[in-house]
Amino acid sequence: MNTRLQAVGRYFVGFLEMSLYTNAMGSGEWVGNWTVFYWAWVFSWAPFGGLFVARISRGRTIRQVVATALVGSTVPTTPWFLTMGGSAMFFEWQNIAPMLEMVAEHGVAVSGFPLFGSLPFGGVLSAVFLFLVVNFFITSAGKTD
Amino acid sequence: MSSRSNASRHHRESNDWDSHRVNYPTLVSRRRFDARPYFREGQTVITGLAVAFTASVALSVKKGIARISRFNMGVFAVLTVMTFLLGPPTIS
Repeated sequence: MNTRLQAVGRYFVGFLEMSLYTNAMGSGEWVGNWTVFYWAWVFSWAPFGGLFVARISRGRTIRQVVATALVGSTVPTTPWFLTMGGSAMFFEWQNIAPMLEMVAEHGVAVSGFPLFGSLPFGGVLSAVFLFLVVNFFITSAGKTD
Repeated sequence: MSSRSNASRHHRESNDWDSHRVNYPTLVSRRRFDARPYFREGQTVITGLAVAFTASVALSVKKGIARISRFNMGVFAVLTVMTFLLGPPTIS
C-alpha cells in the first residue's frame, strides 16, 4: 500500500519533468526508442481504433468523446498498474517470485504468470489472466467488423 | 572446448530434454523434437479463439463486442481486487 501511494506521489511530482525529459547530456537513445515506439504504436492502432471510436460515438459531442476516452481509460487502469506493479516489485524484492529473471528469459509477455502464480489460488488467477488476455484480443480484432 | 565435444554435449542435453517426454506414444524418431503431443492443446485454443472471434464478429458491435467488453471489464476488476487482497502484505 505504501509503494502504491508513493508511486502516485512520484507520478504527480515527476509528471512535467518526465514528460519533458530528453536525456540532453546523454545519447538520448532510450528516450528516442520509447518515443518512436509509442509514436508508431498509436499510429498502428489509429486506423481501426479511430474508426471504431467514431462508430460508437455517434450522437455524442467531441467533448464527451475526448473526456470518456481520457477518463474512461485512465480510471480503471491506474489501480491495475498500481496493484500489479507494486506486487511485482514486492515479489522481486522479497525473492518470492523471480520476476526479472522470467522477463529477461521469456519477455515481458509472460510477466503476469509468475506474479499470479505466486499468489494464493495462483492457478485460478493465472487462468483468469489468460482468459482476460484472450478476450482482449477478441474485442480488439472484433473492432474491425 | 572442441566442436566435437560441443556436439556431444548438445546431443546429451537433447537426450535429457527428450527424456522428459518419453512417455508420449510417438511414431517419429526421438532424434527430432516431437511437437505432436502439443497439437491437441494448440488445436483446442485455436478452435476456441476462431469460434469466439466469429461469434464476436457475427453478433456485430452492439451485441458481440459490447457484451464481451463488459464481461472483460468485470474480469479485469475482479483480478485487480483479488491481487490487491491476496497480494502483499497478505502474502508476506
